[in-house]
Amino acid sequence: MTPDSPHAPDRWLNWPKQLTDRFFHKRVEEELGIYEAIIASSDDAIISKTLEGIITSWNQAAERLFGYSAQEAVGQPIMLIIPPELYHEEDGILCNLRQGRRIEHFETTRVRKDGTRIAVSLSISPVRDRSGTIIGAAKIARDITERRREIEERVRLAALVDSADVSIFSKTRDGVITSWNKAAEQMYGYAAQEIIGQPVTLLFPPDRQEEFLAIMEQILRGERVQLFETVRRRKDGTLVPVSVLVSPIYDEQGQVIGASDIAHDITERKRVEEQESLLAELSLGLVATLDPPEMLNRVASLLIPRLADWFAVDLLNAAGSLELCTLVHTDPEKVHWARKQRAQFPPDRNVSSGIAQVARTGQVQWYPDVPDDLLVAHVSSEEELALLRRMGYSSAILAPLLAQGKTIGVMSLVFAESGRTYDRRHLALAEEVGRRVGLALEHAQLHHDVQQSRDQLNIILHGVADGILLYAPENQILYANETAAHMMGFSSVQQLLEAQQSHLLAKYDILDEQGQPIPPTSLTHSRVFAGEREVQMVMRYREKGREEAERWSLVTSRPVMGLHGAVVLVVTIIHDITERMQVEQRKDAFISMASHELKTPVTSLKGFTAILQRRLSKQGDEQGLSYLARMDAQLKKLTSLISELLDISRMQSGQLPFRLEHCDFDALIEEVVDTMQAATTTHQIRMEGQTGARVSADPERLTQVLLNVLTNAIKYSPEAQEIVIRRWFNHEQAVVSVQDFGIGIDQVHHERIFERFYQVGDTVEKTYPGLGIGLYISHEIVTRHHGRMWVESRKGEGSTFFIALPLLAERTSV
Amino acid sequence: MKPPTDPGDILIIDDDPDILLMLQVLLQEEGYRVRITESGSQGERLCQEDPPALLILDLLLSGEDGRHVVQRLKQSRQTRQIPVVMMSAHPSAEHSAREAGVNAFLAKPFEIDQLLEVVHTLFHQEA
Repeated sequence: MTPDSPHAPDRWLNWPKQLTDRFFHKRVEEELGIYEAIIASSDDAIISKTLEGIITSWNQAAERLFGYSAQEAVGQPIMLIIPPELYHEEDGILCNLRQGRRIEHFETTRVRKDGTRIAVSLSISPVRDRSGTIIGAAKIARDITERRREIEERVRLAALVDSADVSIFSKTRDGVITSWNKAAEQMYGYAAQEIIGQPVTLLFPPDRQEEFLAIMEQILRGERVQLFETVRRRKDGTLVPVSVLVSPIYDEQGQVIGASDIAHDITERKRVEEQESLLAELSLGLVATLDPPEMLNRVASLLIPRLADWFAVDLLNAAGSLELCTLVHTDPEKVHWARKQRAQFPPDRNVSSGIAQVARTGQVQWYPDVPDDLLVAHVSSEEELALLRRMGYSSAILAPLLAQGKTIGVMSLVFAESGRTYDRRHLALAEEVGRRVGLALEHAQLHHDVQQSRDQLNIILHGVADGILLYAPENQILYANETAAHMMGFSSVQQLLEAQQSHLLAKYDILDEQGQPIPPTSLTHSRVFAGEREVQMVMRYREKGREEAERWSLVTSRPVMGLHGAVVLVVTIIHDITERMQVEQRKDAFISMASHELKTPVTSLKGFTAILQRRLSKQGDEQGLSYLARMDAQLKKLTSLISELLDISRMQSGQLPFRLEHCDFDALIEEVVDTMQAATTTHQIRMEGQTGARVSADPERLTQVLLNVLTNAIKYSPEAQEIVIRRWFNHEQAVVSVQDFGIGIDQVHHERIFERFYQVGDTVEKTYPGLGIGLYISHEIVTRHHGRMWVESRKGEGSTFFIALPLLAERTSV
Repeated sequence: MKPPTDPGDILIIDDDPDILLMLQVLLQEEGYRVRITESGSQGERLCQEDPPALLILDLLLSGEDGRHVVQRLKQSRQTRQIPVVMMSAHPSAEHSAREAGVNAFLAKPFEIDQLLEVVHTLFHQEA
């Protein structure tokens, strides 16, 4: 017995009336055994019951389906397996059975022993006795839970497809649409009933019909058409940008019978993309120029016609009023009219609408449409109204141009003849454009300001008489003014910058004041890069092979510090002192000449004085002799002045000869002291300390220095009786100090008394006598010995002069 | 200090008449016989004709370099022996003067005693 032969139990149930027939008794028993076995092994639950609804038989499948054993179920009312809410079903079933009607494939719900509900399909047949009277019913129940679940799934799936927000439809191999979800209805504008059965090419724009063939070719090969972007046509003829995925649909044999088409409306995404590309192009356009009108024209050409028919920009000037800067429309005649309107009716600063309002508040103004009454409310005259009407404005956005939170102007975007309307999304875009344009304009303005101040600075720097150079590390010349370029023999700054330092060093001899070559690492800017704070030196430079064209400069280099205190740049100022040096040289030459010329007459004078001295001495004229002694003293002074002047002029020209030898520092000092002590009666020279040092010195010059200092000490302490000389040494120097107890020197003069021709003058007290060149010479001599000479003194408390000379290595090694 | 019995004399060449006069008087008072001339070439001739016991000359003579005069005298047999004292306002010229053959160099302005000492030494050395 198969589930497909529901009549079999019917026949079996009819047989018991023949059981009494003895003739067939045995056969019948055999047959009965067979049927019982069949019933027992049936997959369908087979139950029989009386017309009263009492269960009379219960096979094994019934035990499995309902959970009751035959023992439990037989004798129980059939209500055992009927859910209480369905008890009424049984009445209907019994009613049908009494009338001898079969019930087939009645789907209902039954309840199992454990209380769970199961979906079953029931077939119920009446059971008659031999007389044909209906005595009960045989019920075959099949579990259809699984089948019902499948159906429900399919329904749910259909609902899901319908509720999806992507358009989903299917089509046959020929492109005939077979299903169509709700999203597809919305997207394409066709209802399911009107499009199903229609060719899918209805959805393709005329210029994309071949796309259908390409898709189907791929589908028929069994390939999926990966997500691609295209355009589809709506019922109303408008186009919609979509992203589409087409997949083949197979039958049970694996044959492609059609395709599913899933499409997504990408209008919004396209819009965002376009907006982003517009902003990107805008940014490029804004950085491409620093000229505001040019910049705004670029913006205009980007926005028209994509985002506006009209584009205008008003900028706030220094006085706070708006100035129309740019006004663009494709029609020049309209531009003319618009400009006329603006010229005749400038925006009123105080009105609470329009660009004046935006400029004041920094808030965007949005006019989705521009009704006539808005114009009427806005204008001040009939004439203006007429002009405005002529423009045919339909929608407008007035956005502030913002720079660092400040409103610098207003951008007007207007739709007119295109009849388009600005929506919220336009508004956000316009505000963003306003921010970017504002920032770019501000940037351009800053650049302009910087440029202007740089130009002004340049004019000043190029105008100054000093050469100015700006060095970066590695001796790179970053900047030079014209004077610097000309000083170095270039016709332009550009040439100098191209030549750089290496070229300069190759072209010029660069010498120090004494004519010694200066190595590149000792140039002033190099020394500042190496860490010195400010370096100043006199430099001589001349083009190689042109010694006669030597120039002199006072070169000063100063550092420019970076944020972290490191030297990032060095400014070098070259002050040409050639003229001054030439004057000095002429002066020195004159002094030299004059001193030589003085020597001969002084020689004569000395000679004649000597002659007179001899004569008066013979005559015993004591008074005459004393006069001659004075004369002789003055001649000695004159002689020493002449010799000092000569020393100076020779120092200046680097001609003062030095004959260095290893000297006994102590002995040299003692010799000078002895000489001085012998010549003075007023002062006692006291010596303290000893060094035992040997120094490299020109003994004649060093004697000159010591004599000068001692002479001064005596000269400037007329009231005192003592001079103290101290000698000592440290690890690198031998030092001698000469202390007097005289008039002293005010601190303000300490640095300068060693300068050439510097004289300590005092308006109240008497001026220091002497030319003041002795100290200069002494200082120079000590310096040339690589030593140091300085003074410590307070006015009225005497002075101490110090002379320090470097020790010879042999002494330090002792 | 007296000159010897066969003293010879001192020739002075200087283009400065005051110096000439001063030296003449000074040395004469010291007992020397003195001849003077302002011209280098004249002095050179005098040396050839009647060599003096000592020659005193200035480095810069008008139109003549005293060192050249000395060089020539030192090359001539006749005059080679004459000791020479050179005076100059340019102390740096001492080296070149000594190379030219001078025996003593006096940087102007010199001390008279210094001059007299030099003259005395050279005069008697030669004698």
